[in-house]
Formats: sequence, structure tokens, C-alpha cells
Amino acid sequence: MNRRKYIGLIVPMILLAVWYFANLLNLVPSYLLPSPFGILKIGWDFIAGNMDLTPYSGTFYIHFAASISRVLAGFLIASISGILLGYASGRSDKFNGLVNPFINGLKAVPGIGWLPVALVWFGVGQKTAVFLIALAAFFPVYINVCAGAAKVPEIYIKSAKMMGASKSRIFYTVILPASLDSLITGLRLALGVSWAYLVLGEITGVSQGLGAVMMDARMLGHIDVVVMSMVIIAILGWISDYILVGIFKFLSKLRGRHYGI
Amino acid sequence: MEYEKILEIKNLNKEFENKNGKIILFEDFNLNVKKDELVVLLGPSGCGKSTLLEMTAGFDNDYSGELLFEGEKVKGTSGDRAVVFQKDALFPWLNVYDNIAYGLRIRRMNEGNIKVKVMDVLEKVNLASYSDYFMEELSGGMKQRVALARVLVLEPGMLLMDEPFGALDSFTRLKIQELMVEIRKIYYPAIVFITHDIDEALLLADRIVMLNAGEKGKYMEIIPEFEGKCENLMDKSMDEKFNDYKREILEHYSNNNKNMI
Ligand SMILES: Nc1ncnc2c1ncn2[C@@H]1O[C@H](COP(=O)(O)OP(=O)(O)O)[C@@H](O)[C@H]1O
Ligand SMILES: [Mg+2]
Repeated sequence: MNRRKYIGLIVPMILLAVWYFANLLNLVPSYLLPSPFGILKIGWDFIAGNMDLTPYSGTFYIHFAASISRVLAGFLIASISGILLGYASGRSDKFNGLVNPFINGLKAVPGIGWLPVALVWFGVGQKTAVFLIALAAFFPVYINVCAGAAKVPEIYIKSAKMMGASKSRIFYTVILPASLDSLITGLRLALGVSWAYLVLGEITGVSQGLGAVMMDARMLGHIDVVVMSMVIIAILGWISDYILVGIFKFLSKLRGRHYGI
Repeated sequence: MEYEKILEIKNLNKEFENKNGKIILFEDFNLNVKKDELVVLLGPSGCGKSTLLEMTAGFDNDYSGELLFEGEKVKGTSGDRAVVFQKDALFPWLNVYDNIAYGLRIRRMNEGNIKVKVMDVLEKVNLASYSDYFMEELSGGMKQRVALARVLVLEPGMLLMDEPFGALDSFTRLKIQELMVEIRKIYYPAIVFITHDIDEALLLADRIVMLNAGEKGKYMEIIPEFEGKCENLMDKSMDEKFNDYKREILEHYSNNNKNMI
């Protein structure tokens, strides 16, 4: 288990080393790709603000707060609607027939394709970002939940029935736990999509947010800040995924359950 | 109210539509099962044994005729007509204890009483030290004992068992068949036991109902009575009458099902 975790570090370490030496040997000019340590330093200054290296020094929390609230809002809207519609559609052929063709049609429009119309509807800012995130993150939740709910083995449902379980009890004690792995897969994919669409929603000219920092720094020629923002978003994406999975693991341990997450 | 007959099946007609048209499984079929009785439904695959069990359990209400349990029409499922399936019907996300407690929790029994009952039934099926195991950690025989325990704990009036030991190797099967005999000294549900194994039928049955012996409404019955004292199943299988019955059953099927292979 632990060994597997460490194996996962090998590839990033190699890439980091390649990046470092490419910089050291001046294979790539540093105004195109700054050194990893330069990024680290600027990142620290971005957070702590004690070195005044860039115009963004010490502004991390403002941008972080703006971004995380957009991600959470969009992700929550996507999750709740994806879970509700996904279970309804996965367990009822009628409901599936009613909504599935529509949702599949909607899915055919690429998320980026909604940007212009979102800007018209919601203007530049918070609402557009949340709308884009919610829309894009909805599909992985819906599709995974729907598939997971549909393939719950019939024999589990029969088992619950023969012991006298009601419909609602069957949902909470059989369908939900039996499809939990699909649900979590959907949520994790959605969370990743949420961070991606956050950047899309923020590079359109909002004043705060990590995507805004990226766009602003590009115009000011601060390529190091652009790369730093990318790294920070990657780290936040990784941490949020870790927290999401951690919550489920914690809850299943607390309840003595074994979901194979 | 006391009923000598716990289950009465009167003029049952059941058919399925498939690509080749109609298949009639039961035509004016009648069967009674007495309290405390173990009736084996014997017959080749496809003769309708599982279908009969599904109707009795209340999963399938699409038939004509009458199915009475304790004098009342069977409507839907109930923990009083509990089912043991062939395999893979236990909840893998719950441990042994919670699998067995499932039906009791539906009945809103308090956790203290649940614990007493669950530990007691685990003792009876020789799994007392396995209460915190999950299904993937158990052998096939252990899982079937859990499946038996989770319905015995409900103290059902009738147990419906559909080839419950059919997936086990012959050594394990003999052990669990012996356990069945022991269990019946403690719990007294009527049991409808489906098998296509003639030896198993002779070892366990109070009465054997041989299905699909020609016409769909008729069947032949055998009430096995052995010569010796037969203190255990080994004695039974060595009894001189055992092979006589076996021959009788085999001859019956070869005479009546010439065109069934
Ligand atoms: N839902 C169904 N729809 C159509 N045919 C079915 C259905 N269930 C069972 N059958 C058919 O009914 C017959 C009896 O099935 P079953 O009761 O499972 O037999 P057994 O348990 O004795 O092997 C089989 O030929 C099977 O194909
Ligand atoms: Mg069958």
C-alpha cells in the first residue's frame, strides 16, 4: 500500500529533475519557463507576502477565497442535481426515457461552448464561473451515478425485500451503498472538472481568483506567476480530491462499512 | 390462529412469454406444505422450481390461482416467508453481524436485543467468532451459513431455499446439510427446499415433490422412510432404502421426460 504511494512519486520527481536541469543548463530561456525554485520562492511570497517579489505578493488568500467559493458552489450544484437525476434515471426506465436523451444532447455541446452565452446571461464574474463549473461537473456525476444505480445486482434488492424492507429503506440501505463506488468516481471526476472550468470562468476578466491572477500576470509578462498559479491550482485540485476521498473513507470506517473505495 | 397447512397452493397457473411463444410452467398445480415440514422440490433445470419459489416469496404476482400463506393470500414479500438464495445475495458492504441484523433493524428491534439474537444465531451456525468479517473474507460454505443465519434470526414461518448449497463442493455441502438437520431441531419453520440433486433431496426431505413429471399440474411424491436408525446423514446415505428411492426417482424422470435433455 505504502509502496504503491511512493511509486507514484517517481514520475513527477523525474519531470521535476528534467525541468530543473533544463533550466540550469539554459536549454529553455527562463522568461518562457522559470526554474522550479524560482516558482517555489514566488509561491511563498504570494502566500506570505514578505518579499515583495511580484505585484501579487501576499494576495493568495483573496484569490484563493474567490476561487474556492466558486469551485464549491459549482461542484455542489452539480453534485446535488447529478445525484438526484442520476439515481432517478438509473432506477426508473420511465424517468430515464424522459430525461436521458435531453441530457445526452446537452452533453454534446462542449463546456467551453457555453462561455459566450453565459457571459451574455450572467455577465463577467462569479455567476458565469459557477454556471460553467456546475454545468460541466454535472455530467460526470450524472453519468456515473446513473450507471452505478442501474447495475446494482437485483439479488441484493430481492434480499432486502424478502426481509421486509420498504422502498425507501431499500434505497438507503441497498441501492446507495451498492452504487457508492460509482458515485465517488463521479464526484472525483466532477471535482477535477470543477477546477478546470474555474480557470475558464476566471480568465474572462474577473478581478479576483487564481485564474484571474494567471490572466493578469500573462499580460504583465510575469510568466513565473502564471506557472506558479498553475502549480497552485494543481495542488489545490489534488488536496480537494484527497479530502473528498478521505471524507468517504472516514465515514465508512466510522460506520464499520466496507465499500471498496 | 393455528394452521396445519402453512402454505396452500390451489389451481396455480403460470406461463411466460418468450421468443418462441408461450411456455406453460404450471397448469392447475396444487400443493400444500405443513408447518414444520421440509418439502423438497425436485426437478431438472428449467422446470419452474425457481419460478414457484419467486411466486411464493411474493416477488412475482403474475399468475392465476391461489397462493395462501397461513390462510391469507400472498401479497408481496414479508420477512415471514424468507428466502435463502443460491449465492452472492449477502451485502458485501456490511460485515457478518450487520448482514444478520439487517432484517431485525427493519423490525425496529432495539440494538441490545439485536445483539443477543445475532450472537445466538451465529453460535447456531458455528460462526460466533466471525461477526466482524466481511463477505469477501469468507468461504462459500461460510457465506451460505450467514445467509441461513440472516433469515433464521427473523424466525420466519417458512423458509424458501433455492438450491442453497448448489454452488458448494461436496465436502462442504455434506457439512452444511448436517448443519441443516441440527438447525431443524432448534428452529421449526416450514421449509421449501429446491434442488436438482437427488441425494440431497433424499437426505433432507420429509417429502419430495417431483416436478415436471409429464403433465404440468401433476407430480409424484415420495416420503422417504429409511430402514435403520440413521443417526446422521452418512447413515442415511448408506441405508439400503436410499438406493431404492434413488432408482425410483431416476426411473420416474427417465420415463416421463424422454424428450427433455
Ligand atoms: N422472467 C422470465 N421471462 C420469461 N421466461 C422465464 C422467466 N423466468 C423464467 N423463465 C423461464 O421459465 C422456465 C423455468 O425457469 P425456472 O423457474 O428458473 O426453472 P428452474 O428453477 O426449475 O431451473 C425456464 O424455461 C425459463 O427460461
Ligand atoms: Mg432455479
